[in-house]
Amino acid sequence: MSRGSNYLLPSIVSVPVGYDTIIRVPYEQIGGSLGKKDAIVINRYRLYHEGELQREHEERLQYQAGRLVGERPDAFHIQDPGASWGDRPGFLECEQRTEDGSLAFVGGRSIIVFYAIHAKAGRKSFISDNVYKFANPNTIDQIAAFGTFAETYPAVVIDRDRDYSEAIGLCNPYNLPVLCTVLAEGDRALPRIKVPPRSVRLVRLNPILSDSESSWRGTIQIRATNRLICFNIKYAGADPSYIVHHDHLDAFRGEKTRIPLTRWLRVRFGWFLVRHTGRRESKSL
Amino acid sequence: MAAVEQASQNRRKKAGVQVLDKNFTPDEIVCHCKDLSQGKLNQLIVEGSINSFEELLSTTDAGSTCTACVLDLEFFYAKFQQERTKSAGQSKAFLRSKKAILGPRAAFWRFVDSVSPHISIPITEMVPVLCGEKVRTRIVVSNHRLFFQEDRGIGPVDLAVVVRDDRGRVVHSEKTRISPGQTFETYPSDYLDGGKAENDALTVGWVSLRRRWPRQAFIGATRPQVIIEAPKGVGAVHFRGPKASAERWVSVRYQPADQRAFVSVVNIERKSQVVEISYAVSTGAAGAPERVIETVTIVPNGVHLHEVRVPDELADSLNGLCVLDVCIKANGWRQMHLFYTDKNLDRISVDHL
Repeated sequence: MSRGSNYLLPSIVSVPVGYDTIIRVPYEQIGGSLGKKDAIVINRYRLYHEGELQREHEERLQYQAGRLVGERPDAFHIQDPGASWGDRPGFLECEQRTEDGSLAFVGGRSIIVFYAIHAKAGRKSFISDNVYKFANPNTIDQIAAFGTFAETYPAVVIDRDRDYSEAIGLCNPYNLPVLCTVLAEGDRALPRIKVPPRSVRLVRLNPILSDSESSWRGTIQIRATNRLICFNIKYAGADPSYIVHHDHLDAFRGEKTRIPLTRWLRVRFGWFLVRHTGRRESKSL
Repeated sequence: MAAVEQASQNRRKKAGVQVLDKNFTPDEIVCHCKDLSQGKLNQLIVEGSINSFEELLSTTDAGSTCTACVLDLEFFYAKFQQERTKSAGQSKAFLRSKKAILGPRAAFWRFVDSVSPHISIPITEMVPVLCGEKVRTRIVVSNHRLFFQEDRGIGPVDLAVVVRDDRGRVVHSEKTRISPGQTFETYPSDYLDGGKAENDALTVGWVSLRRRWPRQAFIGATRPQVIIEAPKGVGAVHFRGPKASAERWVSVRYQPADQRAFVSVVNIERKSQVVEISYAVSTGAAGAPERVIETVTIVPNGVHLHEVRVPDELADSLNGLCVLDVCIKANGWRQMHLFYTDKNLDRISVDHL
């Protein structure tokens, strides 16, 4: 049986310029991670921009038998940072740990999933989901095996006539800089982008079009000297501050596509148990 | 000074120690709880006694107490492994299986798996499809190698695409093979009957896509994406498998002057599902908040699109902008998405729940 943990895996949320960012942490999920235990949990937010801690906020949550006692805190609200941030986004770290260090969270590497709402009067909202601050160990091993970090995104759509523009947000959570290059189909590239420690760089993709091109769609890949948390941002070309959509990228997956038949049978048996006993939530392989 | 540094590097090369860049300071402690320095970490990697990041964590116990060092451990582990790979001239075709110390049961299954034939595992995922007078939905599956490493193990991938309408009827299906370096695109919205529009302007259906590889390869960059195109803005999200949680909560911004918000629920089961979508609308007055509740039965393989809307009699009393906590309850496997559009459906964003 795996021992418990005194923390949930911390998350990172993008904080774009031009929008308020509103976060409502799923307090029920935190309670669910405690099983039926009692615990005092500290929920901490840290807002970073250009390597500097801008704001820190803590909530003290009391759980009894895994249920939150008392009123739920109000949503955590970050006002639009506005011109003081220029055109460089920041990011928010969100972490939960037990106040006394007790190993109250069950299972080891427990996680919570939530969404940040980004809103502004006069514009439609959009959401972004939290990304884990610590890498999946497979990702780290893949960087080692490939000699570089690699992420891909096949859904870039740039169209000057239809006002479709795109950018990639590169978030470096580490204490050292990371160098990266954005490559696109057709031998296009945006080379040598340096992302300073604890910073985000917004790389607009429109420059990969030539002057004679009015539109381009295809795949981009990001290679870097170490892991970056990458976001795709679709925005209005005529008004770059108007963000239409925000999403995270997917890693280039180095897993094999064929597995032993005996392992597949065990996985299928596990799914059979899940469907008929309802023990687990996700069905994906 | 440069000559001294070069001489030092030469001595370290002779001694078999990796020569790293200026960020390498061997005495600097990475994990204070376990007194693990950069130099010690590098030595473990050079010696080859650590084969994976998890093994590093379990062997040194670093990162297990206060976790403040985990990011640094990640950074330096990846960096030192890259340097070791480069200096040894090695290139790994696939991620190696981790050489962990196994218990008897795990060791037994590892032996059984080692003598078992291999089979290709299909991955089936799905997304909703929106269409209307101004909105089209495209799906894209890319099968590219890494642009900067041509020799990686990408192989062909077989696709099976099935498009269904909101009543679960198959309106289109196709199979195709994507060779390495190619991209597959199609507009599933073109097969939906846009005349039967819910919510006055949008028709909903859904598409499932199964990927299967005929031979051993990397999964690579083949995760499908759906792109919803509106006149002035595009939303996109990756395909995903279904969920079965009894209850799902999502906070939705209510800003009727500027936007519309929709929740879609795809029933992937072969039986009907009863879905309840509800949210409390607080007017600020004393007493329990009013709830908006929609209960709908989704037919097998059907999909439902709900617009998050506050009734007029309650909307007038809302002060300014607010956030609604939307609860989606169901009794089976399903998939849910949230859409924000501007009032005229000219821009759209989408995300999975």
